[in-house]
Amino acid sequence: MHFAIPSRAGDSSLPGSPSFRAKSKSKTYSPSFLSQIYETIVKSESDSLSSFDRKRKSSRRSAISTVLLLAIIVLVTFVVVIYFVAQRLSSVVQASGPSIVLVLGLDGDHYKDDYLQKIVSNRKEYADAQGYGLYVRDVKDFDHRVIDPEKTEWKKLPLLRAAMQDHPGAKFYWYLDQNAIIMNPNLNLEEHILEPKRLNSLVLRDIPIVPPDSTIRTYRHVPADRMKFIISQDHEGLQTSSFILKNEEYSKYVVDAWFDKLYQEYTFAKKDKGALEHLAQWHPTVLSKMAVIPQRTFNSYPNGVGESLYQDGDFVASFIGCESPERNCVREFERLWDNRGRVVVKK
Amino acid sequence: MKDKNDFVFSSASPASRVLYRLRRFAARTRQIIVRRRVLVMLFVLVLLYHYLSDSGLPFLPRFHWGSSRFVIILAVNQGGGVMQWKGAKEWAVERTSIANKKAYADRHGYDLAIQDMSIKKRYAHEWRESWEKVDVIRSTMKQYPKAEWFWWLDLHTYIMEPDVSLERHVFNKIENNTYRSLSVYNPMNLPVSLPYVDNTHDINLVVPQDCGGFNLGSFFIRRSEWTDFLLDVWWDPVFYEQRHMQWEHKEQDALEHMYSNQPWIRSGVSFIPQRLVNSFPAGACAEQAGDPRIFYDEKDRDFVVNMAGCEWGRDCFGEMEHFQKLSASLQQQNKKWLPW
Repeated sequence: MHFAIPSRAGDSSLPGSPSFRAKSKSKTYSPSFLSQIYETIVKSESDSLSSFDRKRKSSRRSAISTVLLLAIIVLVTFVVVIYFVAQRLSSVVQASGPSIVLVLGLDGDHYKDDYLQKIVSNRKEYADAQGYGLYVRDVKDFDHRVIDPEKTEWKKLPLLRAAMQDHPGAKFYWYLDQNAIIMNPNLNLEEHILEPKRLNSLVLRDIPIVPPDSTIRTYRHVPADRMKFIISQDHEGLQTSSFILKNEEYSKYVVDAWFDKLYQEYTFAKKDKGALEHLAQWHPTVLSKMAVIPQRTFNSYPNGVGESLYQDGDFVASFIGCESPERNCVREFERLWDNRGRVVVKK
Repeated sequence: MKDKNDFVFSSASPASRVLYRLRRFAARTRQIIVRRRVLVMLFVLVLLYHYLSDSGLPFLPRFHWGSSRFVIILAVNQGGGVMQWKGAKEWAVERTSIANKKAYADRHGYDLAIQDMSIKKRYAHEWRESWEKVDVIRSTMKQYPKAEWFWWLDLHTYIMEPDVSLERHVFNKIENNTYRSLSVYNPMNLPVSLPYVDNTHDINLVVPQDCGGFNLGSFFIRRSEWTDFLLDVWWDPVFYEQRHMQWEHKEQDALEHMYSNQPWIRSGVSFIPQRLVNSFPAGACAEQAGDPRIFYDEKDRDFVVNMAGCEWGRDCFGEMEHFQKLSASLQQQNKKWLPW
């Protein structure tokens, strides 16, 4: 029998090389013996070759799969890194600008220019020293937004809304009325009020919204880091001449709801303060995020009584209400202006 | 043949090659059926389920574990029979409406909250009367803490196309299916633009407009901080005192007032074309007969019919019967023979 084993190129070095020829002059082999040998050879050949092949194939396959796996890992890492970098970049872009913005509305119709200039310089000195922003507008700009342009106190709300629009990256907005002086510009607002632990220690819990004995009182257990509206009250009720709003959706909701036409038209005796007290008493979603802090934190009265009386070292001296006949705005202002603290330049 | 390609590439005739291929295919199929019995049984079961059940489900059967993303709030027992006697017809209308919503909710795995709107003492003497919707929505949101969207439906509504799912119909492409600006359709002539409106704000209230303003008979509201605030300020004693004599539709008018005056509301409200979730029968908005934006159209297979105002001057029972029969006949035409 003649066995024709298909030859492969370059395999003469392999064991069981198929260069087997059944012809031999000296011996004749029986067909069964030859077939046995053939089978052995073929089997070993296929075993070894295919095992080698398998190893080659499997090693090739495992090489491919390793490369593929590495490629996938690299791709995923790349995508994740790009995603986080993009997030950081976008958040950096959004957070450009100062983190606290002072909001000031000037009443050019009723006050002299040099007085207004002094007020602005006082705010600017404070803002520059602390790295805060300052947003100043004439309240005449908002005459068309309010129902009755004579009522200046309502104009602080569209002013605040405009400030929120123009400084979307800020974290806090501090509205301080025009008729107030920052007496101690070395106090940092975060340390003095905003830091959650500090705020927690300042928040007055379980006090009536409208002293002395309104039914609705401030919440007892809401933690300070959830508070988004920081305000104080005097013996009459909430005082809207100095308050801080956190830059969150809640603040926009509150300012818009507070500014509603029907509140402006309603005969609140205390006008915008009355409207805010009404909101706080009737709507728990407003009250739950409102922090009432002691008045002398940022709204002392030089002519006040008891808890509200200004003392040396207080942050802000506010002489709102000085337009009433028994008081004199100019004299009160001059006295305070000369005594105000100046920025201590750290060496 | 050690190698099947041997035969195929051999010199046999094409006919015998084709036959060979077919035989191998048959053998292979038998092999699959024998070896993968479980899978094959499942496949057969799914097909049977589709054909024999009336569910009209997509290809895979839906199993509903846990709570759903959508809750349907159905307002029943309006008035509770206090001001008007509830006769057999009123009871029949209520039964039909409830059965319709139940079937729909079961089919799609939504939750159904049937809320009783009988007159309560705390709403007596007009105090907060007609603002009960707000309280009901708030309490339903507490009952279903995991749900996201709540669909308020008045009693006199009928879901005409039970195969339509809310995800596909509205919510998967909510920005496309709804419009934010009144410039598209403004039947009440409300101010079209206000300053400081945020058009990137999440949509939290999807409401249709009919010929007389916002229609709160079929609308969607979403759980969010915005919604908490809205449900809180929606009723206010100062607003009520000044306006309740002029506001005929109470909470609807209050919402329109707030929408016209407070920019934060606009940021979260989106309008849906009326015929997507709130088609009217011919009797409602009768002054606008023929307006293609308002009335139920059988050819277009509108989703829901809201028989608004049928209790004043029209026949609720008759209309409900009519739409029930119409829906049943339309579903008969619907039966397809392929599962996709």
